[in-house]
Amino acid sequence: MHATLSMHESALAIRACVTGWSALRVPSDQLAALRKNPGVVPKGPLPPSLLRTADEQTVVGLSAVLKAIESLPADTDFDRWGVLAAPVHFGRIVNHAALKQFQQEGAWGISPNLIPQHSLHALSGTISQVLQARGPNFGIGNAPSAAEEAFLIATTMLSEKILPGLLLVLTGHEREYLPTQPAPDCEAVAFVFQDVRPAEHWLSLRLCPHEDEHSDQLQSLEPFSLSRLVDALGEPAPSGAWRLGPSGWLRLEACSGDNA
Amino acid sequence: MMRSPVLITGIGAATPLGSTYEQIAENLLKGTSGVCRVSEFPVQDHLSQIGAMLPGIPRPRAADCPDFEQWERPDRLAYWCCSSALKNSGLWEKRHGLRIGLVLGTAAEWNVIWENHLGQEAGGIEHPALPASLVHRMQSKLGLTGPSVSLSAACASSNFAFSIGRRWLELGWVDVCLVGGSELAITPTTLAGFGNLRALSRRNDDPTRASRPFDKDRDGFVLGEGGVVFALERADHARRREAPRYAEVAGCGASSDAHHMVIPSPDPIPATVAMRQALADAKVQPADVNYINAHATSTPVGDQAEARVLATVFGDDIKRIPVSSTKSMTGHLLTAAAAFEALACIVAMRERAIPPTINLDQPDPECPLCHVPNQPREHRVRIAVSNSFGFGGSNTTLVLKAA
Repeated sequence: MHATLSMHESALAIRACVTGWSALRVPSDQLAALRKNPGVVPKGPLPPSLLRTADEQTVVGLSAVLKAIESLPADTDFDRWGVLAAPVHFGRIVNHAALKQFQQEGAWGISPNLIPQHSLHALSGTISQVLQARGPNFGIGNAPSAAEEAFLIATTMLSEKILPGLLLVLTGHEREYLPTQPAPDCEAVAFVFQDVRPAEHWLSLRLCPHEDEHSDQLQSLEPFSLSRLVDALGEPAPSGAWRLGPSGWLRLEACSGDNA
Repeated sequence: MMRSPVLITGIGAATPLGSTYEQIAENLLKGTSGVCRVSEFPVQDHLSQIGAMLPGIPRPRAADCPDFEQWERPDRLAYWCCSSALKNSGLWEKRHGLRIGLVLGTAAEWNVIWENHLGQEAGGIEHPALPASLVHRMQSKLGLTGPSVSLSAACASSNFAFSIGRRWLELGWVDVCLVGGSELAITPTTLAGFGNLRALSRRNDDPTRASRPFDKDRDGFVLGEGGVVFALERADHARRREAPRYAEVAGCGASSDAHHMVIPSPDPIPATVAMRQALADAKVQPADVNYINAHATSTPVGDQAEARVLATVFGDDIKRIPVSSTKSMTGHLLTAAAAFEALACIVAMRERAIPPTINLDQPDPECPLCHVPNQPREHRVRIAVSNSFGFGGSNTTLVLKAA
């Protein structure tokens, strides 16, 4: 894996090469359109019903992945790629409706799609199915700490140097869902990690899961949030550094050619 | 890269078959069913009314957690399993001086909290401030200083936990890693959801005979609940301190069907990739395997699909390698299933006996395997393989070697 796992700055810091990325912030009134057309699917159109009952984080997460892979060669074969998905409180909106319905109708009120489509495995499973990616796929975190956990697992898997590519998607809402308030925007970030030397523009992602808690470097950083990452990736040359959890950090830098 | 061996040095569990290694081993080898009619909530309008319930979550020493009884059930279960694994490995008192990681398969933590707190202010689904995730609550309660993550590949989750935990040890990120799964998914809406999916057995009048993997008359799986957590250490670390050695985590493999969210692929190839990857990782030939703990949940489609996978990977050897599904006794522990089944493999190794598939009265001719029906079989097991497949198309395989 090019530029992966070079130890520096701390014994635990890891560096990985991001060859494609995207960031989306989708207002709730645009979700229906995205559900019908989440983006260009490499191997032809989606089965019409695939996203019909999917969670909205699945819809936005898949769309982010499809956008992130647009920069890859058209003949990219995802067959052995892995897919990691880290949503936050996945299924909360649908579960709220389901719990209310259960109170009114009992067991018959619960949709058979509730568990398959609105549990933590569903986002990565859907992306795996759409891209025909047959490497490992699983969901991570499902809490505000999901991104931190996902970066840790992604770098763990990259360090094995088994997968030719790994897709990481982070999803959530710009604020917590509350039934009494207008629906929040749904956000997603997708990263493509690849075992190739990038020719042109790429991102260097450095992760340190454990730093001296009192270090000046750590104290000077803003805490990580998906919204901050979405904003940073919207820039022409994305860059940024954030504190992850109590003692880790994440740094992104835009690179081109070999200027590692 | 040369892998340094990683050993299981501690076990913590709370399952429908018991909460200690000895209880679980005894019940597995007696062929005890943990399935009963669900009595914790009304089930008269559910299609499936049965489950393998936890008889109770044991209470750790009061001095370690005086407010244990006030915690949410998922916290109590995970804490019991993690603390028991550390105590069993002899690391409990030393834990603050070690960098201990936690990788936990769990999926329903929010569903359980949301369902239990519906309409309430604190913790409810309508309340904005939700607590930290289960693994982070455990990290804090146990005083662990290593990284903590939770993950879900549905029923394949805890095999991924083994793979991640082993890698953290190899990379030197942790001195010890707790890995496993913890799930309490027998709730009114979950039982209804799986039931309405037509995935569950409806043998409501005969609960102990409802989970019958590979049997011609199987009609779906039975939900189970529980948790199993293992302490993993590098072999050199474990040997230096003369730790218990239950097994070596020798091989992990994973793949995806990319076929359907729920239905396993009719093509056996994707799952064979996971099995072959795990065997190669463990440097084991198929013929060397002494026992296979099958995923086999007791669904008509899934058991046949796995039988085809096993025949493809093992060829003629599948006619002589014993295969059993302990889900016949425990029901399906979902994200904790793979962890329980790793424990069943350890029982087979240590007790020199294969736990049976109970209720296997008439083997499905489409599943022509070397079954261990209804009675345990004396057998020396050095190398055991455990399959776990999940919703989302995940396929995982774990290879354990006697340590």
